[in-house]
Amino acid sequence: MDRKEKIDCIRRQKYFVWGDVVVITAAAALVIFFFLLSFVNSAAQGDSFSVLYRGKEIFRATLAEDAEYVFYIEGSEGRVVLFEQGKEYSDYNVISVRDGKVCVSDSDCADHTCRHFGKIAKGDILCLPHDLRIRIDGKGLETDV
Amino acid sequence: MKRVAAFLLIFALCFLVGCAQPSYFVEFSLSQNAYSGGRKLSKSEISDLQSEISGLLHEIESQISTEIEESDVSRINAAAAGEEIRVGEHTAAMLEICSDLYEKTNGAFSPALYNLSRLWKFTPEFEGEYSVPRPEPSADLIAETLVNSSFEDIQIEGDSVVKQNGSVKLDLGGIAKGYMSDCVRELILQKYPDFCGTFSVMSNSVLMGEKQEDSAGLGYTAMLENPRAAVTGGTSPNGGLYFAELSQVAVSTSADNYRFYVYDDTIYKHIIDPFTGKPSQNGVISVTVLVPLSLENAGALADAYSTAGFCMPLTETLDFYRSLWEECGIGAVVITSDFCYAVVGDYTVLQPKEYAELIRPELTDSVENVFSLREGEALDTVVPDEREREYISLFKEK
Repeated sequence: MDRKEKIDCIRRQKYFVWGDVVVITAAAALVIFFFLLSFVNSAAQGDSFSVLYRGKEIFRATLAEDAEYVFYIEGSEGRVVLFEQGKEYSDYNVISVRDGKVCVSDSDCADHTCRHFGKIAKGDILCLPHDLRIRIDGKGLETDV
Repeated sequence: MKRVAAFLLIFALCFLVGCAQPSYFVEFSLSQNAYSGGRKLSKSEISDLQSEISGLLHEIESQISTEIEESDVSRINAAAAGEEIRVGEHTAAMLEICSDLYEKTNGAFSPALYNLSRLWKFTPEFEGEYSVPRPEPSADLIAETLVNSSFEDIQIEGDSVVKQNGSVKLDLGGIAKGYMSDCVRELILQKYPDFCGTFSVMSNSVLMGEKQEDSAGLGYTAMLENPRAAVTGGTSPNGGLYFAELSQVAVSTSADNYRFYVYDDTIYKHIIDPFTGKPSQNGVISVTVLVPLSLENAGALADAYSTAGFCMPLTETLDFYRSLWEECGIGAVVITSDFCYAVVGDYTVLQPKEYAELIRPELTDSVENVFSLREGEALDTVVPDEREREYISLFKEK
């Protein structure tokens, strides 16, 4: 590459390089992803379950899709993420969603009461040792407060 | 091109921030359907309002939280007998309201129960252990702690607080969220004097003005949470009862399904009876109080009165609410462990099936009524329903 070619390249890079493509694609993907996500969340309102830790809602998901989540306590925070087989958790409850029903399929709480609630499509599952409440959201009887 | 990329990135980040739930130490929610002068507030106006409210809530919390070492309440609790403590405007205002409520409830509402809450392990230092089954503290210890839990040992004059007994400690948790809701309403009215909309500070909701775009013609509606949803409920498990035709009212619910433990077939709730020094055991499982916004400190009153109903024999509780209704139009719904409910006042209280009939008739058959309207006079002794035993058995030690 002679001096003239180098200058040409630098000039070209001044306006457009592959890095620009990556940044633009990433930004566009983020915008599209969260735009679509906002519709997914609103569609799930009437047929969903919530997870409350210390009385405060920390997670909500649809009952329409089978999935396995794990609730765990980290410091003073409660978290819910998709369950990963083989990964180790402490102070946890595995929340399984199948055929529109929810159950706690595994946990390391002291009494395992949460597991005895079985698969529910109404009401709550409580885990007192973890101060956890899994609640099937109301279907259709909306109020202002 | 880079400018376009930068714009898209900033837009994406803004979107991310917009998606995130606002993080408050005190849980707060403001309806997105808010109106002023017949005009719906824009999202940016709502967002601005939320930011201001968030700042206000933090300011109040910094004065009254027992978890903040420099707070007014922490300084009062650490003070010796006779030592004067100067407090901020919010603490002073709350203590003044507390004095008034302590008198009006004949001591059933008391903000001086921190020591007892601690004895029963319901204070924040035991967070994560509230539900651990445990035997009662000894009668001697309860009696000893009760002596150090009298609100009458605290003298309040304006912003000056002096304790007669250095051991007495305050906990404003029974009124704080209601007081906060009053401050939030004041802030909103300063910006939008004819505001119509709803907001909630934890379980304290305020319904301002008349409902706009009221297609169902029901005014504001509110759900009374079913405290026994774990064993009952049908397809609308979270609503035990429903309110309709509401406007200009503060609504507060206290119930026994948060912060409690079960031991020896008994539910020990976090609401302490100031007369016995023990978690309340009057058969009440949920109290909702409705206070017209025309009354001063409506939110604080609703919050405190909903707690007080747990700390009297049931017949006195109902008589107390009846007197509030006759004197100032304050209404109440009291649910007891026999799965009956009593309504005081002429508020519209609907069973789930009745409410479904009004707003979603196709769901009427699938929802279940859980509680029955009490027929005849209540007695002080409440015989628990079979479903109550089923609920308690969920938490029995295994």
